[in-house]
Amino acid sequence: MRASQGLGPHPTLERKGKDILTEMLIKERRLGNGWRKKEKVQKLVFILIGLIPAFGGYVLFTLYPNLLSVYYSLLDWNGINAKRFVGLQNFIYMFQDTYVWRALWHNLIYMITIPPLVILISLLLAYLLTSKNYKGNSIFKVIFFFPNVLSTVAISLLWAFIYDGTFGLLNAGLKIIGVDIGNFYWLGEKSTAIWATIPPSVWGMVGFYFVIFMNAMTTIPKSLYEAATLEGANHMNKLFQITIPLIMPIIRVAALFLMLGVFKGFENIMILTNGGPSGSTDVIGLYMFNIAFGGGSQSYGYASAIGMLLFVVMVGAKLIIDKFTANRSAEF
Amino acid sequence: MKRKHKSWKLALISILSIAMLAACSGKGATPGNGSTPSSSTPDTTAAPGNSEPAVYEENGLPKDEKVTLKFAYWESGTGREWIDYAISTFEEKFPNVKIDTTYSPKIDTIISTKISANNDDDMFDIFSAFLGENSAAVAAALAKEGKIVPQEDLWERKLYDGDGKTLGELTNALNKSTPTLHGTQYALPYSQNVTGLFYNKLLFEEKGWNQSPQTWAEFTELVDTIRADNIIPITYPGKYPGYLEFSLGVNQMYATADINGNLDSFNKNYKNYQTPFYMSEESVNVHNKIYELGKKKAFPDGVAALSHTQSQMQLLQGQAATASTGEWVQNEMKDSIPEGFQWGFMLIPMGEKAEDVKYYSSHPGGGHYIWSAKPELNKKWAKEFILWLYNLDVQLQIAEKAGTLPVRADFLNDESKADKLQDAPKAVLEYLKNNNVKGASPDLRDVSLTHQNADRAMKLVRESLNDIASGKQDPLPKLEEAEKLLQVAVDAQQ
Repeated sequence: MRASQGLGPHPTLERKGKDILTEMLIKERRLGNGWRKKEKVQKLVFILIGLIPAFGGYVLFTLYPNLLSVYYSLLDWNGINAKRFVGLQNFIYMFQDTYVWRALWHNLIYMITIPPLVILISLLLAYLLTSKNYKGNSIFKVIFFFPNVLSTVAISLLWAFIYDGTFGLLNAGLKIIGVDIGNFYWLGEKSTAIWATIPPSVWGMVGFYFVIFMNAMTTIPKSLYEAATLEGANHMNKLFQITIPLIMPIIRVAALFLMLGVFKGFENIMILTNGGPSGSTDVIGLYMFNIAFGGGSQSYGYASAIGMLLFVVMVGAKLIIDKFTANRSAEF
Repeated sequence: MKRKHKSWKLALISILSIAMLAACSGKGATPGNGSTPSSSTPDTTAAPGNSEPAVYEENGLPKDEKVTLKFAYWESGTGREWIDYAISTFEEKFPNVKIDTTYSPKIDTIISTKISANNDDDMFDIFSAFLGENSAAVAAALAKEGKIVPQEDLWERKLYDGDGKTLGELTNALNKSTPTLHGTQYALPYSQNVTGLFYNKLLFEEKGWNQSPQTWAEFTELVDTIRADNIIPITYPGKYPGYLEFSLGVNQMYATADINGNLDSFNKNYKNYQTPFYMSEESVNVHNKIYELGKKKAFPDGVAALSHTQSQMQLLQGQAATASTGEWVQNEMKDSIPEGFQWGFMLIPMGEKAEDVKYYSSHPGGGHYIWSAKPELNKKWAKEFILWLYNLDVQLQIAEKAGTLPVRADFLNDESKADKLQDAPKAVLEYLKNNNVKGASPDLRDVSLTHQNADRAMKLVRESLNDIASGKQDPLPKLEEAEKLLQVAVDAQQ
């Protein structure tokens, strides 16, 4: 009516309307802030739920046992007797123990042979299959990857048969090509045992790194190779100047995993030679295992001290790899 | 709102999962878990309204209290058939007792882990006396710490089927020869494992070889004859050189001592690690003899690469004339024994005269320890179960299925029962009957050395054994080195 009379809205009504609107806006804002707050809490809870099982597992099954073994390394303890604190005595003894140094020497031999061989062979096979479109590519992939699905035990038993002096494939193969060495036991002689344990490890590991390298190589743009071909580059140029530099970060990680794996692992040695003949293939992991669980007096304290040494050496190996293989990543 | 509800639901599920994981890892949190005291809960359904607890007439133990015994069984060459029989008949006789068995060829590792975990609830009630290559040291430590229960009282117990006779009476003075730990018996053998050289009688007959050399000279002559026939005289798994000690080890040291009239002092020194140990006259003699055989090419080329299956296959396939192993070999290799193979057994004589005594190694692999920190009722039932293993029907299973030698005298004296033995144990009995033989138990000592040098000394000798047996390594320098290491360990412990 006021409008029809040419008057504006009633001032009281107008004020009331504004108040209601403001109140509604404030309420909405309040409601909105609360919701956001709850959302933050929810996010936090969600993150915690996501993290706690994994972190809890890490703390419980990795960190705690490792810290515990630091403590054990300071004890004279065989798991049965009362724990006796001996300070650094286990470490002092360890540095005087010739078996420790002998085992470390064998580890060193494995570290300087197995990782380079695995990387080289994997790279070569991966490059062959990615650069050439062979007919049986998919079959080759399966064949190369096959050893990786076998357990260490199966691989070791297979190679023990290959090296057998009487029925072994190796001696039979050599005989076929005219090299008759009689019933020579490759794993039974000190001069050959350590070298004979290298091929089974390499054979068992190549498959995994071959797949990793091959997938890395397939991500390199073809245009780079095409350009190189136009420039007259051959396969070796392409491999060493395009492929390897571009997948170097992956090779670096592979080298790290291989080094640490080779240093820690001893299952294959245990099955193939059990550290023999006359300790010529004994490695630090096996020595440590035998001290803790083997035929000796089960000295957990001393075995833990060796475990600490293992840890230090592995951290050292990691730092060396970091230093000599800079983390150069390329974008393409 | 729905989204909010969903996310909280997710959180709740996750928290519940974590809570469940935590509950699982709790120490003895749940009732009726294994052999905790709570497992010995009264059976409320038994004997209702009866104020007197019902007990078994044979052993006076209650019928109405349920007990679960955790049992660690070493599944060695003797298999598991016989123990399954013993368990099922025991459970049938005593329905309130359940035996929860863990079988493994590597049971020593499982037991060691549980011992170290030091959780009495989780520990086995009864466990194999085989505790790894160095059973002696581990067992001595367990006895010293009071972790295992003495079982000597069982000798006085009447057997379940012994017509009122006790275990001691029916086991031919086994109580005198059962090894002790710090002077007490903790594991009674229910069978006998005898080690030495096993061979194929038919092959020996065919070649006209001497099946029972009585002196060292006769034995070396036999080795030469076999070698001349282009067959390996003695095989053993060099990957585990301890197998050589089954025929040329501590038992031959005992024989040397006995022949030289030093048995008592050697026995005392051996059991207590008194030096000279590696350099004792007996030890040097045995290692020199291994070296002598090594120079005669008595052992396989590349022996260090042989596993125990490979070495035993050499015997079964006729590539080797004898194998250094135990009477369980027949049962262990039963699927690979060729037709017409006839088991024979011999010991390596150490003496110069035919009447000189020979020693076999008797291994207490057939005993079980009882964990002392268990409820009293569990320990009582554990002893009953151990006693049950001496029942004639179980002993028969030991002979037939496990392929080893039972210990019940009335079993072995009964020809119809003794006939149930497998051929390899029969060959052992035949040899023991016809020769001047004694047994030694190299595994058990009264003292355990914990200093690392003791392990190093043992490792040094074990690692040298293949080289000595190949004639490449004079044993003396290695024995001297081992002796020095051991002396440090002995001094450290005093």
